[in-house]
Amino acid sequence: MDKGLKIEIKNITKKYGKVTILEDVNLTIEPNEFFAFLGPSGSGKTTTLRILAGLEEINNGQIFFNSKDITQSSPGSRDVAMVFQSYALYPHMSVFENISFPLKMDGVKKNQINEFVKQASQRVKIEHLLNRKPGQLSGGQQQRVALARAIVRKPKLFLLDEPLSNLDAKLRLETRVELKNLHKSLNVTTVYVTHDQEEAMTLANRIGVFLKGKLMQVGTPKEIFDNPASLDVAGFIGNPPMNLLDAEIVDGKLVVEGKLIKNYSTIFKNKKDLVVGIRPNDISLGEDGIEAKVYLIEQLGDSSIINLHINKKIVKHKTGENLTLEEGEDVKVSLNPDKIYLFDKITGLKI
Amino acid sequence: MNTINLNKKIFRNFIITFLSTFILLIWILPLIWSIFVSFKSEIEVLAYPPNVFFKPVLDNYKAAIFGSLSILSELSDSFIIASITTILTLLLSIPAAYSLARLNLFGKKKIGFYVLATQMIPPMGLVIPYYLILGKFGWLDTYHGMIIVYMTFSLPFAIWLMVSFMEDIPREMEEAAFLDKASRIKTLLYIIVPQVKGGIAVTTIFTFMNSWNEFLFAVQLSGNKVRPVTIAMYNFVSVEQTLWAKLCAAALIAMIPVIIIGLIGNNHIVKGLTLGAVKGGGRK
Repeated sequence: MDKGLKIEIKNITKKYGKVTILEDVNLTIEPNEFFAFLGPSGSGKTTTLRILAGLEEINNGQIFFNSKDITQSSPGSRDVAMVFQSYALYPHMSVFENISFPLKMDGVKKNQINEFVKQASQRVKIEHLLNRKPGQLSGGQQQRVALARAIVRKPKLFLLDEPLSNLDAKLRLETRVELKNLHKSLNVTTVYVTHDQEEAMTLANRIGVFLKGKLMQVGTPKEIFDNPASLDVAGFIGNPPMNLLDAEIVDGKLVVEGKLIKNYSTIFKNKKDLVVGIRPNDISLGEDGIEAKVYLIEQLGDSSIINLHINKKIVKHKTGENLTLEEGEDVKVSLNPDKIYLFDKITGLKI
Repeated sequence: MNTINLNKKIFRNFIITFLSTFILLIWILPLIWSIFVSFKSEIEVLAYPPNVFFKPVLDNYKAAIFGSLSILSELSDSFIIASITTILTLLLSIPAAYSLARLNLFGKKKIGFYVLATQMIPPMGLVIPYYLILGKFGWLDTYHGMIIVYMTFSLPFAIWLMVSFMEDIPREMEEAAFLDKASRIKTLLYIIVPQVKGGIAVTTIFTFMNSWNEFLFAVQLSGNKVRPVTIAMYNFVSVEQTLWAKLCAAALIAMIPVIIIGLIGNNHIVKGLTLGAVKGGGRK
């Protein structure tokens, strides 16, 4: 078996007129890796995917597939397959014709086409739908046709643009597992765009976090979760994301909202303009601590999220305990000193 | 309350039905009159007051088809001109519309405006310039001369219509085709054209109908060697007399091809003209 495709993205910048969509993105995706682009809408993740596909021109930078510069290559010559968010099935063709279209364009012989289409459709379990038109299929079935059309040609690279976003919640979970299995069995470099952290965390080997047109951080799901490199990433990752509170260091002591959190002996003895990040699970309510008011309680079934007002800021506390709190009640909040993250408010970087 | 609404509804429906029947009658009366006249003898036609009951004769149709005033050669001339105009219009307008709808052409907006602007010039103002131009080339009274003149009207309309149909197709569909290794031409043939069938049907019908029915340019720019069927109606008009019955018979025969094409394409026209309104409704 030949080695998979390695992608190197170097200094990519993309502008629409004067608006910068992507700024100086650098990234290496290893062969056969399942890599997720994670970010909110408008963060540039889909644009980067489309650049990999050759559907967008770039203002600056280079892309290498296995060390070969393909920056100027046409989409068709890159040997990539893409599943669009809208699936982009050809509405006038049957499912069979849809799946066989890339083979037909590639000049594959007719009897081979039948064989390949059969294999691909069996793989995504739609072999009974081959004579239907896309308009006669449900969303989930359409999605499978789009997948089959992508895998039938056995490309070097799969690009998936929010493939699960149009499915209902139950189907999304099922398809997620199938996608993971599909990647395992095909073993092809895969780039997956999503705004859903859970999807990115469960599917990907590594994640690239996109925010405001920049690639903020690259790492394994665990690295990104445990070790967010900046305030922006910290405020985005996690469900709900990390709480961010203003803090300062006074005489080697970290102080949040007037309360001492822990002794802090670093290069700074005194420093203002700091931000403390703490995950909602690492907060506890008790007798002592920062004063807060219960604002809203969200029941999740197995756990609940308690929204607290601390100095006009909302802080989320996630707990599995059954607390008998009432909205409007005054409580005291303490932060687990071992689980806090410290950021520089001005540079946004982790300290 | 409900009964009032119901009464209102019935009243409204009545008005609509009445008005549309009235308008339809205005449209259809001359046609019905022509049909009656075409079955009368020339003497019967001039009877005053007109006879409602008369003995129908087929003489007029025989004369219009087989007689000395036969319009068969004119029918074939019209057919040649209208069908070649239609085919060329389609062949040129589809790629032209695609490039206007999708490619980043230099001066695309200006081209788009020019295409529409040609539709704004009254045909009357073009007769003499076209006469002079065709005369210079020696193309007066030729098939290709007439076809080119008709295409100057049909092409802008066809391009404008096809552009709107093509813009309705999601770009991702094409991008998917590019990634599937299809070239631009193949994408146009396999992905775009099948999805604008409605537009193609509408273009075909309108182009064929307009060039078949055209009279002004036909009478000025042709008439001896090449005689479109609209001119043939003059066969029955002379200084001494007008052969009304035969004229009507000929006119009705000349309508048949257009009616056939219209009936075949009727569904497509309605679909085509309303599809633009719902913008991609039904497609995913």
